Amino acid sequence: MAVAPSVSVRERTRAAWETETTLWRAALVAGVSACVLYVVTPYASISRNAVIYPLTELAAIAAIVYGVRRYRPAAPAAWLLIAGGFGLWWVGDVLWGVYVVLDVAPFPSPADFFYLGGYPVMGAGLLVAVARRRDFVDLRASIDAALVTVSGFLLTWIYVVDPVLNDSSLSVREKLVSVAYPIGDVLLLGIAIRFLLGASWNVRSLRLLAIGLGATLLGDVLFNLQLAGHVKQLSLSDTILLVGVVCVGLAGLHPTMTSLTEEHGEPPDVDDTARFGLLLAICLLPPTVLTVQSLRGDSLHLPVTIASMAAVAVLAVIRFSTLTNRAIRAADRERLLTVYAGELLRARDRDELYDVAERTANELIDDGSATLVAPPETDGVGTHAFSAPVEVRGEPVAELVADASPLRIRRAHDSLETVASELALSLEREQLLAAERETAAALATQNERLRELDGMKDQFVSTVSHELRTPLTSMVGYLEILLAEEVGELSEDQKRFLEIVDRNSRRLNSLIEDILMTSRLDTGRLSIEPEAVDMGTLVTERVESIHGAADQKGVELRLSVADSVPELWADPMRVGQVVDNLLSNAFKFTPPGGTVAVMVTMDGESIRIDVSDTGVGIPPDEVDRLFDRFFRASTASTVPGTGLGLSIARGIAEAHGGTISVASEVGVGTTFTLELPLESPFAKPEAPA
Amino acid sequence: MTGDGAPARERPLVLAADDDEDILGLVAFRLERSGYDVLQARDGEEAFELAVREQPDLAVLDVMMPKLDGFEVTRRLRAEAATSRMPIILLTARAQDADVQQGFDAGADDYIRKPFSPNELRARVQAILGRR
Repeated sequence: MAVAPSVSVRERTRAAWETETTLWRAALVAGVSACVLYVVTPYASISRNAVIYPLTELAAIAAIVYGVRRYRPAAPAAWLLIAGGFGLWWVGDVLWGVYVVLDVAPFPSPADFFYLGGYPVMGAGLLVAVARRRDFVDLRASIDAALVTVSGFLLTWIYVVDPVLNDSSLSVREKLVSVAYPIGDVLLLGIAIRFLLGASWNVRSLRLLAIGLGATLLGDVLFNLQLAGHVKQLSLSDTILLVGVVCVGLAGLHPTMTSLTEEHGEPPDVDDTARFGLLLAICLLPPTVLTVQSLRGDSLHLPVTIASMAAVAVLAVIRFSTLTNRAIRAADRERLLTVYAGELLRARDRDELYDVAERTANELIDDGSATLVAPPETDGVGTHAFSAPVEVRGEPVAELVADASPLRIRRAHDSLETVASELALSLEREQLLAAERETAAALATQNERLRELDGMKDQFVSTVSHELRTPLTSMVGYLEILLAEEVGELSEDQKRFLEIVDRNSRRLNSLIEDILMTSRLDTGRLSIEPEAVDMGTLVTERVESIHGAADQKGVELRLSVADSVPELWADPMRVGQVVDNLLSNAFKFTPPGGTVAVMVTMDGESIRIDVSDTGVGIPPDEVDRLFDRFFRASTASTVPGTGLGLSIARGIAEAHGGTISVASEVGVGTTFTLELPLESPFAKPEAPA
Repeated sequence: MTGDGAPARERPLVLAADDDEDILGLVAFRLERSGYDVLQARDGEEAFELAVREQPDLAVLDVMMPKLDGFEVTRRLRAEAATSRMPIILLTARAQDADVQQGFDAGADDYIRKPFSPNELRARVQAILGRR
């Protein structure tokens, strides 16, 4: 059969759900109608007691059985026993209806046998539910139920059982049967309370079941009080009992009925205040009863009251010791988790993180075994009592599984989940740190490599310049000897050509010097040997050294040095190099007939040297790049040069804490300004006297 | 001025050491033309052995030489009693200013950077040994 299964399954499910809802609503309407009909029917009529009541009961039983068949709870026994209890009561009611029709009231009768038989069956059903829900481990709920039972027993004894026992008009058999009802009620109440304390009120079926049981017990109590003559309203108990029957039947028919026997979540770790208030009231009940009796002058039921008080005291002590133990255990787990968090932080790698998590999980469950396993292919490990995924960025990396008694697992449940989630966080942190370490290592390697390359570059520059100087030494040296005509006379042309070779050899040499100087400035290894320098004298000497060349070229040299220019703390060789560079530039670019003017001035904070020429000038858009390495102005193309001189000059000026700047106009001339601060960046060897 | 215990000579004897044959030839030519006898060495070890054996009046040593560099030869010569006061001029193509200091620290009397003018070398030698 080729049908699309997913669609058909979903549609069938929806259809079934709609059917169930409709069915349940119909039952609800029917139940309410039955109750209303029952109330409006005259009290003594046969149809009321022999028809409506038993039929409604039978319908409720049928509803439960139908629900069990349709919804297939994991443990059908619980519902079936509850239905069985109602069944026995139904038989009793049918018999009683016969007695009512026959207008007889035998006591005790077979009806009583069925009525009383219903209690243990109903109780057994609830106990099955409690057991299936793994509720027994919740000791608090059991103690609280026992406290209610003891107090209920006390009240029942004083107000129901004792009067019956003291009624001399009753036979022993009549007394026993009469007493069995209230005692059965109290026991069923205890079991119901125990069940309710473990039940979830969010599930409709369980809510209805609780209301139904409560109504049944209330009806029974009222009925007993009627028998004892305390209550005159005869129809009330029956109506409440019927409402209880309808509610239980509706509970059994509701689709959520399966949750009665399903394991449920952890009970809250702390008790709420309301519950404690109720417990206090219950504990205070025996002494209150005693007080009321003595105030009213009634006969005191001392033995039973004292026995109740003793039982309440014992239960209260156990109750609070469980609280203390619980608190101690919670503190232990808290401490373990705190230590765990610290250990996670200190763990050095992934394996250590796993070890720490596994050890902590084992300490938490005490007597079981917890392990971290590889994440399962499919969801959930299934066979373990506890399992929690360890996920890093949504990816499962491991599964924390634990096996121990259900009690231990339940107690450690939240803590184990914390272990798993904190491990996940630490693993993520470890991952990030590892990535960071990797990046840092890569950067360090890269840095090292760059340093190596930088060192290699320096080494290269220094080696190359050395290797270049060796052949230059021979060239320049032998040229000198040749030009001195020590090894033979030279013709005019020979001499002229050799001079060209000589001049170019020297250019080559100054290029090498410039490159070396640039490399030193780059690596911060330019050595400055500062001493007191009289800039006026230094500049004057430099200007005089080109006097001959200037005269020859027809360039006028002007020099003005301000009076009282103080001495400056500087390296005279380096500063002289800068002045030479500026002078030679000005000289080179000034045509014959032009002027080179040098001015040395002082403005209080620094000494200023202006070198002006009436040369070709520098286009404005090139001024900014003038100090860039290897940059040569377009107007400089006819004059040879390396393009390194000004960048070196600026480097030296900056090494002295000074500046070098330029102002130029094409065709008019250029002024370079060197400013050197009087406050030298170099430490003077000793303070001037 | 002559080295202690040096034999009396007609012309002062200068030891020139350089691994570059052309520069060695240049130094030798310049000094021989200027009135000196020149011993030639092509590495540091040879320079040291010649200096100790021949007791020249002055040594012109290249810094960058195979086997022993000029600094080391200078230090060893200073350590030998017979050559401890021999005038030494270092030649170097090395760039660092620190080298100059290192040369003087080793015990050199003078220091000439390459490329150098042969006449300047002659002038320095003459300054130490006296004009011939």
